[in-house]
Amino acid sequence: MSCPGFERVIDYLDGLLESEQAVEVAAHFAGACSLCAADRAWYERVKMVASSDDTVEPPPWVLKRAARLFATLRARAGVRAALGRLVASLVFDSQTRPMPAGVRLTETADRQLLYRAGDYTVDLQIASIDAGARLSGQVLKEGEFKFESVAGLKIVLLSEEEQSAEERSAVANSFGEFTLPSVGCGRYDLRIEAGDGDITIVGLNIT
Amino acid sequence: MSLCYTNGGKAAPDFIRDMTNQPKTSTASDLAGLSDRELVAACLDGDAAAWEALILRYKRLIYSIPIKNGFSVVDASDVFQSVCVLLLERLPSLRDHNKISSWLMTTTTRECWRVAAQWKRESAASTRDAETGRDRMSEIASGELLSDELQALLEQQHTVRHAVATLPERCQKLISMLFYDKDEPSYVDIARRMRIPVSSVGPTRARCLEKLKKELEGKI
Repeated sequence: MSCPGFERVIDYLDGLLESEQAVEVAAHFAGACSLCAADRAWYERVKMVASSDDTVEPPPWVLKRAARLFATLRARAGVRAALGRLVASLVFDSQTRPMPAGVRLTETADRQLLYRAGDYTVDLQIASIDAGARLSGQVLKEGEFKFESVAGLKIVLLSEEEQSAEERSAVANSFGEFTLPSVGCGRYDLRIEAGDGDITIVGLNIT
Repeated sequence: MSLCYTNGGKAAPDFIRDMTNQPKTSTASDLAGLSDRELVAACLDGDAAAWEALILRYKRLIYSIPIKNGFSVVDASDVFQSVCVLLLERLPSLRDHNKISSWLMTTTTRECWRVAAQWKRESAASTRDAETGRDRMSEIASGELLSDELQALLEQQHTVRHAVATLPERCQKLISMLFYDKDEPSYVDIARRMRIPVSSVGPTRARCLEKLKKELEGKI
């Protein structure tokens, strides 16, 4: 008997043939036709894989939420790409604070600066010491109360003149606080290596 | 003095820059026939529909891993979202992958471990199965997740489903009824649902299965 063809093979395997036709196909299989044996193996394999498929479809809201990720990232990326960088303003500098009325001179040991970058705020304190300053600060992320995004961040201070040579670093504690105990006078960039990108304060004057 | 937000020279900037291209107008179903590599490239080119198509393609594979390991719908949904975030972040490095199913299975499994380990740390409540006495969360957290055979089967199930999804709509409908309908509809039922004569069901089925066979060539 010549090959019964794909349709008859699968009909045979699904028990859909009349008994006389089934006998003929069975006899053909007994003749070890490699072509029909391959069809048989394929169909049995696919049926087994499909019939054992008990995978579950996630609820529609889960899919919608995942699909929205792309637009969210695109929106964030758009801001960064448009500007080349996300520039934030200096929110507060204690040296520019007006003096109280009637006060001619005030000596404050520490200078306080507050910056904002995206969801982060960076609070810096510069305390004058012999021939330099002690730089300390705290990094906070908006809406976060357990400090998980800011604990352990690496803080790197780079001299603007010789960035590779003049590098000092510190690691933020579990509250996002850090200290660089002795920093020479000069102009620096302060880089905070946050999990979702670096925050850089450019041109920080230590006097 | 200014404060700027940069990305530390990681893989993301190119990707992020690319993603700001003009949005494309295709839909996820238009892109269902594309390969993984083509979909990833389209995502990196800023095509939101390609991202949706990628999610739809792998939704069952990702979601079923936590579900099969006893996670609740809410926890499985969180794992799903975490894996999608990782997928989106890693797209540039997956650009040259022909199949990302293996990467997704490994990543989803690791996410399950991470979540289970977190539960173990945070909750003293017992997660022991009342019937079997097995501590499912301990098993997951210690890495005893799906066996290699089950993972291979899961990947093959995904391959077959994906191949069916690339067939013409009529074939998709027919093969879904034949393979995935737990009620095992008769030819009469199938003919009624597809609005075709009963006598056409057999030949249509054969033609659709031949198309499926061609689609699955070398894949299973």
